[in-house]
Amino acid sequence: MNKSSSKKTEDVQSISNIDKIIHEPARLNIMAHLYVVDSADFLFLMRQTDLTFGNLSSHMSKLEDVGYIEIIKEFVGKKPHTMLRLTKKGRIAFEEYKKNMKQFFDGIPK
Amino acid sequence: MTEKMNLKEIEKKAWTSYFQDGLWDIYLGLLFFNMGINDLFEQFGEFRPISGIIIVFGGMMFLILGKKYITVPRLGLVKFGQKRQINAIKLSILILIAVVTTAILFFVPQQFQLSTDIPIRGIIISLLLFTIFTGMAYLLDFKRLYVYAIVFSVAMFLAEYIHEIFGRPTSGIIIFAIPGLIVMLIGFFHLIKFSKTYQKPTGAI
Repeated sequence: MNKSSSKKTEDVQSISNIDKIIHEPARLNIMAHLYVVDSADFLFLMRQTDLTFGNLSSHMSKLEDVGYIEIIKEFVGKKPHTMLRLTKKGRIAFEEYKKNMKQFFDGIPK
Repeated sequence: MTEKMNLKEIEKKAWTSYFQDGLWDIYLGLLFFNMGINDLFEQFGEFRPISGIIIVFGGMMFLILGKKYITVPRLGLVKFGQKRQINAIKLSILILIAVVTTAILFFVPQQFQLSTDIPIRGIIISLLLFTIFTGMAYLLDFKRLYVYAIVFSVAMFLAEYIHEIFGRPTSGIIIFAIPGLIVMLIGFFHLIKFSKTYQKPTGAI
């Protein structure tokens, strides 16, 4: 009894610890794509995530506010270019999120 | 949610999206096409190699400029991680070894001909070509290259026999130019499809 109730508590705690910023589907999609590359521009992320410009922009702002991504505005030739990259904090947060989710799903009996 | 999210697949999809444009197909097809029509430039005498060099480097410029002005403005810009960068280095080494080996084989033909019935040089070159293309296909995750590997290596192997039957320049056209042209057409088909699928965005992003 003690073992199962402590396991239940652990499961509840692991799901409670889930990063709600990352957990939103669109932001999770963005974080996943940025995690597997070094950096990408806005257009690339739009194409890969199928998000609209406004949607992507809004989620990017939220991620930037918590320090998970950095937005680098630069010029390529004469054209303005926006590159996006996960910060170290963002990578750690994403890995933590992965770990917590895996822990939670692994705990579910088949 | 994490069970359905396969990060490896996400990275692979991002990488392979850059090959949807067909530009590599056009370039490789052009290289082979050039091999096939090279005998037609025999009349240029000592200037014959120059025509081949112009076509090869022209094709390379088309590839580079195509990526810059067609692909990136439609697909966006990305810098991949260390794994892909290491693969790019491996690929460069593979191509360098292949170029050097092929150059040696082409300039030392007699030593590879043990008998007229066994075209050793043809076998070695076609195996080499197969190895290079399949190596490229593996390192670049570019599946169409596996098919081109088979097509080009078989063509190279049959070259000796076709030369004997049809003579030059007809044999070159049959063995190299026609497959090269087909590969180029496949490339152009993908390029047109890519341009229609990914419209150039208006305004700054």
